[in-house]
Amino acid sequence: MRYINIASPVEDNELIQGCLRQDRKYQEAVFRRYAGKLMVVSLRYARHRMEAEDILQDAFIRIFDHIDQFQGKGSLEGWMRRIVVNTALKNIDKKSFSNEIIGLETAAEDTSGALPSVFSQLHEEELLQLIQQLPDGYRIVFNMYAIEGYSHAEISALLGIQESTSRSQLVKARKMLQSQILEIQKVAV
Amino acid sequence: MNPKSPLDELFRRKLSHYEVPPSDDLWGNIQLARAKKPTPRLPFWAPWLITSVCLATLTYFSQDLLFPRPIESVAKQKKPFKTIFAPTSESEVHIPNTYEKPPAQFKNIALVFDNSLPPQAAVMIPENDLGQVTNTTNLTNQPEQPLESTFTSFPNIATLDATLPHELSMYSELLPVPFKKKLWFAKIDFLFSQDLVHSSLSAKTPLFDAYSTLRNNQEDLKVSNSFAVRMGISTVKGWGLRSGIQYSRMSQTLTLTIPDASQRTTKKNTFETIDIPLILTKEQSFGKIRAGLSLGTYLNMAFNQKGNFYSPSGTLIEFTSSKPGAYPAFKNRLGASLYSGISLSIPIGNSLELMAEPYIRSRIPSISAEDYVLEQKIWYGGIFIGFRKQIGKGFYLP
Repeated sequence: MRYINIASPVEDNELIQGCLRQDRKYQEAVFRRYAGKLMVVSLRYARHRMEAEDILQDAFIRIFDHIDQFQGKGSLEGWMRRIVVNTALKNIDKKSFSNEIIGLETAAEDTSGALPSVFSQLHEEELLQLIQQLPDGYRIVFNMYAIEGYSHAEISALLGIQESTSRSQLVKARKMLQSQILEIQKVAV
Repeated sequence: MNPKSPLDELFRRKLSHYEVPPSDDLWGNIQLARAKKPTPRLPFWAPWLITSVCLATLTYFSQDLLFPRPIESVAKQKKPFKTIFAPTSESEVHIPNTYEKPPAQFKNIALVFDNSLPPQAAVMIPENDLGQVTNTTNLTNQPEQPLESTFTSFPNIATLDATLPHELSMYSELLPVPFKKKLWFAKIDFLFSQDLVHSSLSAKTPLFDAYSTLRNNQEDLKVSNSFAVRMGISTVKGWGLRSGIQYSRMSQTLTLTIPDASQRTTKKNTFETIDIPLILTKEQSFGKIRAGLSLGTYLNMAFNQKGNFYSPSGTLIEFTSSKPGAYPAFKNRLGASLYSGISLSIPIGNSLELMAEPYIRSRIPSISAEDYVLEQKIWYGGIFIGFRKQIGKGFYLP
């Protein structure tokens, strides 16, 4: 039996072919290569690590079951990331989007100003924690819009919410993140 | 592209290449969970195949039980010629034991065909009498014999004119080779059916699984009415090919309780199709009843839709095909569909039959547009009722 060394530059195509044959070695190679990156995606949508691992497990099961649906139009990683996102969205409670935080409704969206230098000094782990601390609705919309690149229309269709709801959740998520970062700065000073 | 925010950029840049290893036992859990998964579902065409095989098997094995045959084919009966031709005296014709194995003196037999007879009537002359009828040219020069005398020795064959066209096949083995061309019959069917339609919606990507479930729950069972005109030709042995045109109109009731408004709404949608059927049939008579198996394909010529459905966010979306700007959720051409049915007919008049044909039909490709997020497949099941009219009295192909 051939040993798949994930450190060696095995092409994604070869991994896909192996997965199509349901070859466990190739499946494991895919898992070892992408699990770390996909875990971050999962952590961004989940409230805690245990939930993130559940999402990632379901997502990998879907990936291996539906690998034949990968049409090669984009990268394998991109396709897998979408499946992780979709898996995370599957169990969303619509009520998450009606949980408003009083005081942020009228906040204007500021996209023009430069960020204070403290923002760029934050580590990835801290940013991840900040996202996880957001309320469910804010976190999901922020992830989908700011990081995944979905439009408000797409978020509306995918989540079954109004576009205006998506917009307001994003504005509030940004404001909340900014205020949390500034709080961190104060503590650090 | 979404408007850039410095905050968004920061999160995207920092997290896009960040990795967090999952726990060590995650891979083991995935393998365990996959091992417990149920076996995959049957492919969409499996029910069609299974049904067709069952129908064919049922037809084959039940024909003798359900429809006892009053008249056995003389070619297959292995009866002595005596019972078939009933010669009036022993000097007339030597009687062979069976039809299958004629005795040695019948090696040089001549097949004589009288043009005044139906093509199925042939006479076997023993070798001793061969000189009297050396060729058919001589025969045609003979004074024309009255029909009654020709049939005197062959009372069974004399009734051929009164037989149904398909029964002629019983005597086809008796035909001389030059005249053994296939006799064809042209028929036209006028059929109406009321069908039940089952459609299944599935998401093209897991992203829309929830939406497909919602749509499946919202949309009631559809009812379809169809009208078909089929022209067909068939052989005396029951093989036939039919084609024509079929118009179907499918109605659908869509009931929705809008998630955020507790409002119940009902919509009526209609779907119209025009198809060209291409059907191979095999029919057989069982007494007065004629039963057959039909298998074939329908080629879709047009597919028009009128109505609405709901988007995942509860917005009403119009998909009417003739309306500019309507959402193009469906294809304009549906490709092929598979058809199988069992036809039953009884004669009710001069060349006219009353017929019924229970059938199932499945669309092979999805009816959804290529870009639409859901894939919709359709199954029809119903019963055609109508009339079959034979045109003329049969013909020979050139």
